[in-house]
Amino acid sequence: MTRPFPTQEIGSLKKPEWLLELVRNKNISDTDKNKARNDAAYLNIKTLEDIGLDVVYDGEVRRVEMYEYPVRYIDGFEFAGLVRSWDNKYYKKARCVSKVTYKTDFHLDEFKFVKENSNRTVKVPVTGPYTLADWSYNEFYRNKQEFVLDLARNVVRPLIQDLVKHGAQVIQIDEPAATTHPAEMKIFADAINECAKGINAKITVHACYSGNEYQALVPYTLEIKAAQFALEFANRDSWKLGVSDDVRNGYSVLKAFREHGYNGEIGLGVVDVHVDDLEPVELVRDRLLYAAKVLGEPTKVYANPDCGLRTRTRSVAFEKLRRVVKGAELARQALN
Amino acid sequence: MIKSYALGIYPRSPKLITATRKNDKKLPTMFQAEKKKLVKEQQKAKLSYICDPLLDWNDMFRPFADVRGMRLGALSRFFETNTFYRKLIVDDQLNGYGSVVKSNLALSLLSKKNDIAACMPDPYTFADLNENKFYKDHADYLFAIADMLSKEAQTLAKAKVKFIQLNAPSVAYKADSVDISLVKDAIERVKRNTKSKVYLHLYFGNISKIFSKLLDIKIDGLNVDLSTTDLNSIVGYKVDKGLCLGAVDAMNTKMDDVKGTAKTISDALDKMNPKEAYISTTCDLEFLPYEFAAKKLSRLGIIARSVIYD
Repeated sequence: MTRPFPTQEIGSLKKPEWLLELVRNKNISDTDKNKARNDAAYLNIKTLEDIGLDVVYDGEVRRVEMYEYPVRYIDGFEFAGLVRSWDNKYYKKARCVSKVTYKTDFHLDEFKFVKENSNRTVKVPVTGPYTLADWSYNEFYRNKQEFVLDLARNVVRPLIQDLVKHGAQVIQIDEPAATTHPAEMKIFADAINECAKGINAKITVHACYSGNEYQALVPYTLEIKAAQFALEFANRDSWKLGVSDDVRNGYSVLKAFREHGYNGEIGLGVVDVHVDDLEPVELVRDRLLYAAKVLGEPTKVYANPDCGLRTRTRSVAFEKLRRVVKGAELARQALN
Repeated sequence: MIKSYALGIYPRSPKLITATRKNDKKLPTMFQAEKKKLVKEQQKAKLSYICDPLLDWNDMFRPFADVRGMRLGALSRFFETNTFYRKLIVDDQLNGYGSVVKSNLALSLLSKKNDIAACMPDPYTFADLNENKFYKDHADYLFAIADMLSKEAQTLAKAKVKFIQLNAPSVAYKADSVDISLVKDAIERVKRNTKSKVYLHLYFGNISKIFSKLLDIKIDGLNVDLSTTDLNSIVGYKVDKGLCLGAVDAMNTKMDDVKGTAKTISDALDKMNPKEAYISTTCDLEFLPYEFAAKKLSRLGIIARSVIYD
């Protein structure tokens, strides 16, 4: 992108109620369910385009969840049961019981559909090897490094290769576990590089809520072969307007990125995905201007939500995305 | 054979998870019934202490949200796990405590034939993982929490809880930077007026560098998580108090090897010669799905019976 502050979404949107009811209905055929999924994907793509985003996908409308969905399609895993995330929220956790292998490109059909139906840049979100390993029990590999790197080489890279072969130009590797274990950052970096090896496409990395505000990531930003880090910031930032360090306290780690010599792209989380309150467009503008002030190059600062918006209602999610787009427009005007 | 126990929050069964999601009207009854089942599992595994499996605790701090001076804050990651807890914010003088833990335990479900154990956070971890907006400095805040936990421990002792474990993951996780003298003072405050045995559970971090200092704390014993502290790094110490080895991995579904684990523990105990010895899980069982937690309990009992220690 050559204009300042390109806009993008990160991934998931809440599925429409009518789709959920339909896919749960045992009396409806798989063919009809797939037609409904296509309709929902089309609706998401066109809504995101109408909002004005430069980079889009389908809201991950065909995926049950970012961990469970890929694990279903990888040999070597068996689901163990439910484990608590917090309070009454649980996720299905798998055990790795044999060597992991790639069965089929489980994102190919959805990608082809988005490609056919969108006139914008398409970015395919793919769950990363470090997160797949970190969120699973390892009963097979001698250590985590072997587990993660096998997932990178045997599963995620072949998956990306297939997508690229069919025309994908931008791949977002989702790694919400990225900085959870600061002592394992080298494994994380090696895994991303294994995924990217020989891939002729733009690779971006999305991390979120994994702790230490990305201080653990900073020393590896030059080593990791990714064109962009899309990160969450807005949830830690104040809602006051302005571009001073005090006011933009949620974005303080950007200085560490710059001081370390990182000059790649940043996907800047400018709206909080865990609250319904709508960020004023001027606040989005100031967050973008602050990042540009720190990093120096506004064409390398992408405006996006902190994470996928699936925890918000569709109306709130779309309104937040509208504000991302409008805030970016205001930021461009301010630069001029 | 050595003694054994598995304290902390246990996982909910799939049936109970579904009921909590639907906010089923029968939830209180279901919690009791599911607790009973897990108590039976502990008895079947022939564990030395029986405990409430804390199925209705959303995290280790949540019951304390009822203490005056505390309120619920934001979700925060629990160390390097994929589980989150709700941070408590201390914004007034702590008050109205003393039976928080006891009133959140189903003591009536625990058989009188068995010795009863309970756990709660240690004061350092409590202070570290929650937020102080009232006390003027960290020491005041820490000791206010220690005083609260001391009252809680006294109430538990009166209720015939024979063994209290203070869960101290922050002490272990921050072993390189922790102020041990402050930890010692705070923990000894909790133990001081309590008749029950008090153990400190050190998990989620390597404590080998501070082990000798931890041995100086005037409590009944230490529990060391062997998945994060290499047993070889502490085996040279003579232990003049109780020692529990957290040897059954509660973070992985892989079943622990009975013979190998029992031999390693037997050999280590021979060298360390603690006053009394236990084996436990490395941490709470809540990080495993229900079915695997039940298997681990059984495995814990088998390993305990296979250890040779006089």
